[in-house]
Amino acid sequence: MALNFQNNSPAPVGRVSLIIALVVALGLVGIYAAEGPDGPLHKVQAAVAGIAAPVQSLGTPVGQATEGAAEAVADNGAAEETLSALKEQNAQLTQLAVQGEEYRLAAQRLEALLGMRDVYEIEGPVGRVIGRSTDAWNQDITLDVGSNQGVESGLTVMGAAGVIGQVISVSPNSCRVRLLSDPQSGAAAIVQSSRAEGIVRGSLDGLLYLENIGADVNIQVGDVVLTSGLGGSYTPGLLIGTVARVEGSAGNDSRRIVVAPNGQVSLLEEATVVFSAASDAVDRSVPVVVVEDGQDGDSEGGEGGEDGEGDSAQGNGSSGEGSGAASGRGDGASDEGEGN
Amino acid sequence: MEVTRETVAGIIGGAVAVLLQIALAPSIALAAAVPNFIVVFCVVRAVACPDHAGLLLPFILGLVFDLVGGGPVGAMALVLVLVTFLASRAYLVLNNDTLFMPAAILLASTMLVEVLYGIIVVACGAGVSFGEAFLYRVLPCMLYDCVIGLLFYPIAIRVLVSRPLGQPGTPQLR
Repeated sequence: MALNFQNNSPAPVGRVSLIIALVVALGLVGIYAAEGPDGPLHKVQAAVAGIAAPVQSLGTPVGQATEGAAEAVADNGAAEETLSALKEQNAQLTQLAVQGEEYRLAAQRLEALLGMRDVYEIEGPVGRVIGRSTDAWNQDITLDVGSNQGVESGLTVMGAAGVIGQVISVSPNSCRVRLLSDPQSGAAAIVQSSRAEGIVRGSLDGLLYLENIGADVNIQVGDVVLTSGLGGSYTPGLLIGTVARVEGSAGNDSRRIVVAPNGQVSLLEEATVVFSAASDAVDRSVPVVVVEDGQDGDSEGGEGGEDGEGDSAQGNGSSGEGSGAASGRGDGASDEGEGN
Repeated sequence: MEVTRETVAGIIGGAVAVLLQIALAPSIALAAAVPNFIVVFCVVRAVACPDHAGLLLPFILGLVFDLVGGGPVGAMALVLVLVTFLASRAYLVLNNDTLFMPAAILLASTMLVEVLYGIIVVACGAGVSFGEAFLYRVLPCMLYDCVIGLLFYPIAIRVLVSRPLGQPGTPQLR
């Protein structure tokens, strides 16, 4: 394979313009890194994201249309004329069934969201997810509520089953929410049963890790993890998830604690921006999805705390005295007398 | 600036790439790998028409990507300007009228974009090590972009390039 070295080839672009472009871009990166979240570049980014938000919602129909087109191509190959009428009827019925299922699922999701709002006495607008991150490096979603609805940067965002993230930028009619699974996110957290405090961080592998927990604290699979509100970044007392795996034992500094979020963000379609929640939210009980050894299993923790006694048979426990608390630990371990 | 067919095709193609990146890319993400249509378009264009690739379009498209996404503003602009410049120069020097050379430059450039962007994102405080970033983000995205780039290249050289491909008797992409 002979290479054709062309010494007399014209320069495709001028070196000066290259240097200028590189310097400008490098300058922008430097300014962006140095400025705070309220800096001009961050504001421009938020404004552009707000403008692009409606376009993002185009993605779902495009995906559905692609699937529909593939099905249509497959159907054309069949060419069965005698069945065309039945197929048409079948398509109509399927459409109705799909529509009905959509309504049922939407009602179910909204019911769960309302349930969570009731439990925590949450005040704040509910927004629809209209977009997801356009690049691989950020785990975020866009909601269709913004500053016109009173949303501000830094507010906690709840899904139907627990905390999903925090508002990082706001435009008039949309806001961007950084998910807990993003490596840049960090939520001050508390383990409900032991009251041990730490930080829940996201990671590139998509898992949540509970860090900065004291080495001597005993953490078990199934322990419920809540936001502690320390530092004021997240509303305190809201459910994050449960401990899914503990790598290493108490006393070991290299112990890694994996937290399973209480619900799948990938399936999320609505979320609540939390303006305020009950002051004793940390002691309130919510349905907890207990994950053990990588297997999901639903365990209702809603009844815990009625009498302030552990209920190991139901996988529920309580902490606190008559405060309606539930540790949600699968083994029913309780930490009586320490409830706030 | 002279308005040529390449310029117009570049602007339209760039707009389509941005639209695809915003509306379609999140929907067709495979696990952690989100395709980057803007990168693919810029790199393919730099290889398909190296004489007219220019720096303005990669800079603007990179900036749009940065503004629409959540990454450091200017990072993708910087990387795209640098890599498309290198890609176009490499193609002009190494072109031997076979399909291998543009494909190789295309793949190498796409990889370079993802690696450089990963380095900048990590350096700007992504809170992860580069090894982790390479494994979970750079590598999957790189592979995804390469596949899209190879699929897009045959279309691009017909749409973006107005001049006849090569001299009579030289192999052409069909």
